[in-house]
Amino acid sequence: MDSASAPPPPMPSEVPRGEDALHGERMVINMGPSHPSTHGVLRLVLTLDGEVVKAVQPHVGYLHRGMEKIAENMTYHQFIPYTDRLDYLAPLSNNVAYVLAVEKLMGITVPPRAQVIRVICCEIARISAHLLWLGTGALDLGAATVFFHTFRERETLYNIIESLTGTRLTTTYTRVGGLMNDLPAGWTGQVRSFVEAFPKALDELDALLTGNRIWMKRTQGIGRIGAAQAIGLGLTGPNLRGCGVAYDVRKTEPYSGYEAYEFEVPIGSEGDAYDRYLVRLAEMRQSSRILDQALRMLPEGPINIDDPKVILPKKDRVLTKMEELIEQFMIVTEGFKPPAGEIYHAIEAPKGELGFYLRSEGGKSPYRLKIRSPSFISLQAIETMAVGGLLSDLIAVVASLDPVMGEVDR
Amino acid sequence: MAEPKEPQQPPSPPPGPALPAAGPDDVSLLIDDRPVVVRKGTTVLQAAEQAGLLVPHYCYHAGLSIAGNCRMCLVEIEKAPKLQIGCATAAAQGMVVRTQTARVKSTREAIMEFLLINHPLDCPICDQAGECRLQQYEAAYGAGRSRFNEEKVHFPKRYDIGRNVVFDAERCIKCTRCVRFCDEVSKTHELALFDRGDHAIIGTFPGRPLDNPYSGNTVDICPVGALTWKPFRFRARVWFLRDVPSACAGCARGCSVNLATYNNRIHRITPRQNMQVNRFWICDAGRESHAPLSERPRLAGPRALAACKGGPQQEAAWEEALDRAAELLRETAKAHGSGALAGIVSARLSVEDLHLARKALSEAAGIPRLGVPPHVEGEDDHLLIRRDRTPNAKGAALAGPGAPHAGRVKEILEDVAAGRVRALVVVGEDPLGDGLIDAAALGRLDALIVIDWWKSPTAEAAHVALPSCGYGECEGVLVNFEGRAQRMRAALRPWAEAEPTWRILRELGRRFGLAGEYPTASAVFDEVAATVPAFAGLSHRALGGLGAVVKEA
Amino acid sequence: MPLKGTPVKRAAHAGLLAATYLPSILKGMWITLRHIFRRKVTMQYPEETWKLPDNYRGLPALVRDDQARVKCVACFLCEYVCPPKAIHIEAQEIPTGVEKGPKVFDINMLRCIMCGYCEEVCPEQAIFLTKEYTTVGVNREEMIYHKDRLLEMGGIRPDPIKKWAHLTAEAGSGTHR
Repeated sequence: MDSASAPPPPMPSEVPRGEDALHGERMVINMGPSHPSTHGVLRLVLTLDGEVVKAVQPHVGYLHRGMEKIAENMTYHQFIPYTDRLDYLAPLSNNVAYVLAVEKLMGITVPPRAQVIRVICCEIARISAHLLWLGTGALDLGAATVFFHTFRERETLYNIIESLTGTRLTTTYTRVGGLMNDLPAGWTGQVRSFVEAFPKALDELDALLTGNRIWMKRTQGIGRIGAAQAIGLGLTGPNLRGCGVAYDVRKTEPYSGYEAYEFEVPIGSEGDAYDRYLVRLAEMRQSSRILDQALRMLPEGPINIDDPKVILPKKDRVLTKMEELIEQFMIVTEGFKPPAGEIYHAIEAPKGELGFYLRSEGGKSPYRLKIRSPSFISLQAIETMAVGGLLSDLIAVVASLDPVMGEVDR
Repeated sequence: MAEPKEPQQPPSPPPGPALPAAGPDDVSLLIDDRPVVVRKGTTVLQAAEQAGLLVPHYCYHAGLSIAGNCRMCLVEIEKAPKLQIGCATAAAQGMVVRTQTARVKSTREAIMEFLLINHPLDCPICDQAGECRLQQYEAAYGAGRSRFNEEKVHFPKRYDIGRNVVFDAERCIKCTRCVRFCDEVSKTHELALFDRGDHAIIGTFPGRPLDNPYSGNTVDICPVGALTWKPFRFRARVWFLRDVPSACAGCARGCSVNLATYNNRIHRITPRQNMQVNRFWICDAGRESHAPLSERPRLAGPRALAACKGGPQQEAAWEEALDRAAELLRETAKAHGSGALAGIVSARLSVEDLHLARKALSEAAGIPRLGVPPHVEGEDDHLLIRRDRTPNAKGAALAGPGAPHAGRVKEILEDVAAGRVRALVVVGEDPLGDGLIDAAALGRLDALIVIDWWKSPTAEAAHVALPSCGYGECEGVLVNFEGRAQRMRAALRPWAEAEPTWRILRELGRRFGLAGEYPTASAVFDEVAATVPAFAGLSHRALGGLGAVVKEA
Repeated sequence: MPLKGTPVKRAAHAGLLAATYLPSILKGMWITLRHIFRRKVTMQYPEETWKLPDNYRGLPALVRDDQARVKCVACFLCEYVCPPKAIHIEAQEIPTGVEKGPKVFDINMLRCIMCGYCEEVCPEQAIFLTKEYTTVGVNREEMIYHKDRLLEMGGIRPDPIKKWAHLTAEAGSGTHR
C-alpha cells in the first residue's frame, strides 16, 4: 500500500513557546467502539487539549444489520422479532410501536383488553430501561451501589416479562391485530406486587443519589443544552424534557388509549445531566402510576381482532377445519396485504419518540420501512454537550443521553 | 335460507362512462363501469380479463373448451334475473356486467364453502400449496371460517394414474380440465369422470393409464393438488421457487418455459404461455430435460493430458488448458497441414456459441471443415414434439457453421479413422457415445479437444477437455424450426469452473488472433445481428419474453 | 393547547457539613447496611436454577404422537417463516399412512432466536419450544441439531386430535379402477 511507504509526519523540532507552551499539542484519540462507558459499540473520536474536550465525533455503524432493508423482503409478521433488537433494553415497547404502525396502515384497532395490556408492556419496558440506565450510568460515575439496587428491581420486571412472553429479552410479544398470548394466570398479581413495592425502592435510589454531593458535583451543570438547541437537533424523550420542554407522545398524540390515564410529564429546567437524571427518576414514578391504573381498568374480552385473514386461527381449528387450515397457510406464506399508502406512527419509547415509517405498495412486504430511533438522534447532541468540558465529564454526558446502539445502528 | 335483501341497482346506464363505439365485428360493454370493446363471441370472463379484472375461475382454461361446471365465475349481468357464469356467457352489445356486488361476493363465498366441504386437510402434505387456486380464492373470496362439522367423504388417495402422474381423488374438485386436455389437446382420451354427485371421481379406463407424452400438462392445469408430478413430488415448496423465463432445448420446437430454481438447482420446468410457439403446453420430455444436469457426471474443471502422450487426464488451470489446446492445433497444422484439422459443432448450442465457433475455429484457427451432426428421433407429432431434436438447427444454418448435415460429419469421422484428420475439435457433441466413431479410431488422433458440459465418453478420451455451462447456466438465443429466435436465460450459477461455450471459444480464438472483445453473450448476439442479415435489427432486449421471427432469404 | 409539564425539584448544595461529603457517604452506607438483613435475592447458579414459566421459549424440538409417529409432515411452513432462516428441511415420500415426512430436519441452534414462530405456524403441532436453554457445542457442526436429536428432545406428545387417524388405519394408498 502507498500509505505504508509514505514518510512519517515530521516530529516537532522546537519546543512550543508562548501561548502554545501552555496548551501543547492537541491529541486525537478513539473512545470505543469497545469501551465500558459507551454502553455498546459507540466510537467517539475525541480531540483533546489535555483534559479538555475540543471536539467529539460519534461514529456509528458497528451494529448495523440492515434491518430496514431486511424488512422489505419479509411479511409484516416476520419482522416483529427484529424489533426486539432495536432498543434491546425495552423490546416490549418496540414490539408495540411496530405493530401499531402496521395497524395504522391497515386501519385496525385492537380490542380494549389488548390496548391495556400493551400499555402495561410499554410502561414495564420504560421502568426496566430506566433502571438499567440509572444503574449503569451511576456505575460509570463511580456509584457502584446503585447498580445492584436497580438490577434487583429490574430482575423482578424480567421475571414478569418472562412469565408473560416466555423469554426475558427477545419478547416478540405483539402481533398485528393483537398479542401473542393472553395474560397467564396470576400475572396481574405479579405486576401488582411490583407496583406496590417499587416506590420504596425508588425512594432508596433517590436517597442514594439526588442529594448526594458527589453525584451533584458530577452531574449538575454538566452536558448542558438549551431547549431551542435540543429541539433543533431533534431530541425527544427525557433528553428533551430535561431542558424544560414538555413533549411526550403519550400526551400529544395518544395511542393505545393513553388518554385515559392520569400521569404527569416531568420536565427539568437547566438541561444538564442532573435534570435528565431527575426526569427519568420521576418518569419511573409516573410509569408505576400508569401501571397501577392499567391493572385497575384491565377489561375482560378478546386480545385479538376478529379477522380470519389477519389473525392466525386457533390450533384445534387448523387441525380440523379446511378454511382455517388454508388461512393458516396463506397468512404465513402470503401474509396480509395492507392497502397501498404510507404512514408514520410514533410512540413514547423509554429513549424518546420511536417512530416507524411504512410504505406499502399493496404487497405482502413493506416497500420501505424506516425507523426513527431516538438514540440515533440523541447522539447528535454529544458534541454540543461535551465540547469545552472535561474528558471525565464526557462519561457523564454519554450516560445521561442514554443511547443504545441496537437502536442507533438498526 | 332467506335470500339477503339487495339494495336496488340504479337503472343503467349510470352517469358513469358511456359505451364506446364498436366496429361491425365488435361489441362494446361495461364491466364494473369500465368500458370494454371486444370481438364478437368473446365471453364475459375474457372481456373482463381484457379490462384488467380477474373473474375467479377453476374450470375455465383459455386453451380448453368451456365446461362451466365450477360456478366460481358467476357475475351479475343487468336485466338477467340470476347470476350468469362469466366463462360461458358471450359478451353482447350494451351489456352491463358487475363482478364486485354483494350478491356476487356472497355467491363466491358460498361456492368456496361447498368446494372445501369435502376437501381433505392436506395443505401440509400437498405439493400444490402455494400455487393452489383453492388457497388463493379462499384467502381472497372465502369466509375464512368453517361451518362444517360432519365427516368428510373419503376417496382413494395417492395412486399412480399414469407413469409420472399421481392422483388424489379427495383433493379433486371435478373441474374436468384434465379430462378436456386429454380429449382436446393431446387427443389421447385417457381420462373421464365416473359416477355422480359427491361420488364423482376422475379415472382412467382399464389398461389405459395416463401415459401420453403430454401428461404433465394435466398437472399444470389442475387448479388444485389432485394431480401431482411424480418427479417433482415433495422436492421443493413452490414458495421458495423462482421462475426464470427461458426456452426449452429439447427439440426444434423450442417451447417457452419457466425454469423453477431454488438453491442453484432447477427443480422443475413448466410451460410459459407463448401463442406463437407452444401455446400453454410442453411435452413430458421437455419437462424433465433438467434431469441430466444433476444425473450425469459433470466436468468440474479443465482437464488436459500430461505432456507425454497416453498419460492420464489431469486437472489443469484454464489458461494452461487453453494454451495446450492451441499448441496442439498449431503443431498438427504445422506437421500435417491445415487440412488435417476438423471440427464437430453441435446445433444444440446457442446462436452466440455457434457464431463464435465459426469465428474462432474456422476463421481464426483456420480449421477448414466444421461438421454439424443432426439428431433425429421419431416423427413430428400433431402438437409440439419435432423429429429434429436439435433446438438450434436453423441458428446453425444462419449464423453458425452450417445446417446439420450427416454426410459431412460422416466424412470428417471417416477421415479421422483413416488418419487424414489428425486434430479434431468437438464442441457440445459426443460422437463416441453416439456411436458415430469407435474409440480406436478416435485414439489415432494427435489432438482431440472437447468442449462439453459433462464427462461424455468423448470428453474422457480427449487430450484437452474444457467444461462448458449446462442448460440453464448460460444465456443464449435459439432459433426454432419456424425461424423464431428466443432467449435461453441463465437460471443457475455455472457448475464448478464451467464457462459459457462462447467464452471458451473466444479464449481459444484469441490464441489464434481473434480480435473482437465479446464481453457478454448479448454483445456476441449484437455482432450476429450486425453481420448476419437474417438477424438484422434483433438484440437480446428486442427478443423479449416471446422471441421474434428471423428474416429468412 | 401546549402540554404542561411538572418541573422536577433540584437539590441544592447546602451547608458546610455537606461540603465534607460525610453526610452523603454515611447515608449511603446506612441504606446498604439495612439491606444486609433483608432476604437474599441472588441465586447460586448452576446449583440452583430458577423456575421457568410454562410458556418458556427455549430450544425448539420435534415431537412424536402416542403411536410414536413423527408428527412433522414436512410442510415447510416453519422453514418459510423462520426469521433467521435456522431451519432446513428435506421432504421424502412415506409408503404408508401420511404420505409425506421429513427426511432431513435440521435446526441451526446458532441461528435460532427462539422466537417461537415455528411453533405458532405449525399446522400439525409437531414442533414445540422446550424449556431447554443450555446448549453447548465445541464446534459449529455440533450446534446443528438433526432430526433424531430434535425428536429425542421433544419426546412423545399425546394429542387429542388425531388428524390422520383414517389414513394410518387404512395403512397405505388407495386403488381405483
